[in-house]
Amino acid sequence: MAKKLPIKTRVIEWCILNDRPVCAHELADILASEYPGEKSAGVKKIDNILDCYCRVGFMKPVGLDEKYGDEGVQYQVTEAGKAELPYVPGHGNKAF
Amino acid sequence: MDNNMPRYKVLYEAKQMKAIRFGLVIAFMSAMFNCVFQNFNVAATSLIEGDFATGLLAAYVMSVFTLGICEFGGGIITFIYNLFRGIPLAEIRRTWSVNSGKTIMLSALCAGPVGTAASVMSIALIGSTYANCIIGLAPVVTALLGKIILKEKMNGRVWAGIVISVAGAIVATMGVPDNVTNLVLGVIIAAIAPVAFALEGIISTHGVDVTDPMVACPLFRMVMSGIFEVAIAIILCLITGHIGWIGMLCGLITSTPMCMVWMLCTMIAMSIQYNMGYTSFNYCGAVKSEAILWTGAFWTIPVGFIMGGLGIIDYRVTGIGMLGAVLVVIGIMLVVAKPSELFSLRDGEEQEAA
Repeated sequence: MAKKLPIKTRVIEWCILNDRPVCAHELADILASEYPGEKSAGVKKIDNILDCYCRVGFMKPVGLDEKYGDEGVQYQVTEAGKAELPYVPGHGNKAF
Repeated sequence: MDNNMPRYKVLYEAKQMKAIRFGLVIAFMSAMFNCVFQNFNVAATSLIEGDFATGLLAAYVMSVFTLGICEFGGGIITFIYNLFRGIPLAEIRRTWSVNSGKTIMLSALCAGPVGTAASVMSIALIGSTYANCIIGLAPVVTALLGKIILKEKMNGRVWAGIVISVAGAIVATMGVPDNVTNLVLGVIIAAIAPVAFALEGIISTHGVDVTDPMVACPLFRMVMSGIFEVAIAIILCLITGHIGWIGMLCGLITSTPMCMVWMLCTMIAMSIQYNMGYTSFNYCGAVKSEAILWTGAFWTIPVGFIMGGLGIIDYRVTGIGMLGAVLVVIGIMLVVAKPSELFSLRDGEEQEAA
């Protein structure tokens, strides 16, 4: 079994490897099985992580998943975000 | 607001504005707690320094050793707090596996043994307000490094704000109270701190790019940094033939109950300050966070008067010192005047497209 990543690192890894629009609700559902019962992998925390990634240019808002109403803002990884993959364990795990 | 803006963008911007306001609040609170922990630390060390060895080396060893203990304790306090927030201890092990997160240990070396020790020593030498005015130059150094290394966005207003802050720092150091006798040495030691803290800000912002600051900070910046600092103090004592100082320090701390109380207060204030500061890197970017964090010159005045009034420290300030502190704050206000600039912190085509 692959080493479990910190939740924030796992979010960027998932977004890079899947490279498609995703909202916090959908991502929380996907990651729930990997981090069972962990509050830090909840919708609110993942939404916060996605917003953090947007501010530094690793993600960008691209649409709205109507299923989740106003909470369904979808994000997609940017080229700058994809360049972070070597910093993720299992993909290079670079320090600098 | 643009009426033709897609709904997802309207929702996104509203969400970001709320998050950024929160980020600015925690950055300002971090700035205030910076003064609180420094003053508690001075209060703790002032109780034992009279019975400890004299000289610059002894002062450095005492500063680094007590800081190391407080940072380590503060890290443990944060882990306990995280448990209540639902962050399991397993997240610490996971965060340890991320090498870019580990770079925070390098920033800890810049900030702890060098930066914080220099600031604590300079505060002891020339007083809280004057030392913080010089330490407050960290945003200028950070702005230069942030622009070059992190490609953070800058504009004329931000630069003007930084220049006014520097002017404030210079004005404040023109008026020195009578009780300051080591001005030159204090200023030289204080000047080391902004360079060290700028490096800390830049390296740490890189470190928390893909890790949670509330886990990475207590792990790398507090617990590991604390261990490094205690080790540095011990190694320094071994090299210089003063290993007895470590035992003497432990004895003085444990035999002075009020020193332990102030050290516990330092740990708590430190855990609040460090974690809020590192979280603000995620919200406001390194350049603007550092600019807010180092409004210390202003916060030292109310905090100094309160702690002085409570008899915790001896605090004095002159009118010109207060004028300099106000200038520093005006400069910082210019830096953060437009929170919407924080929607997108770094240069890049992708963000423009978004």
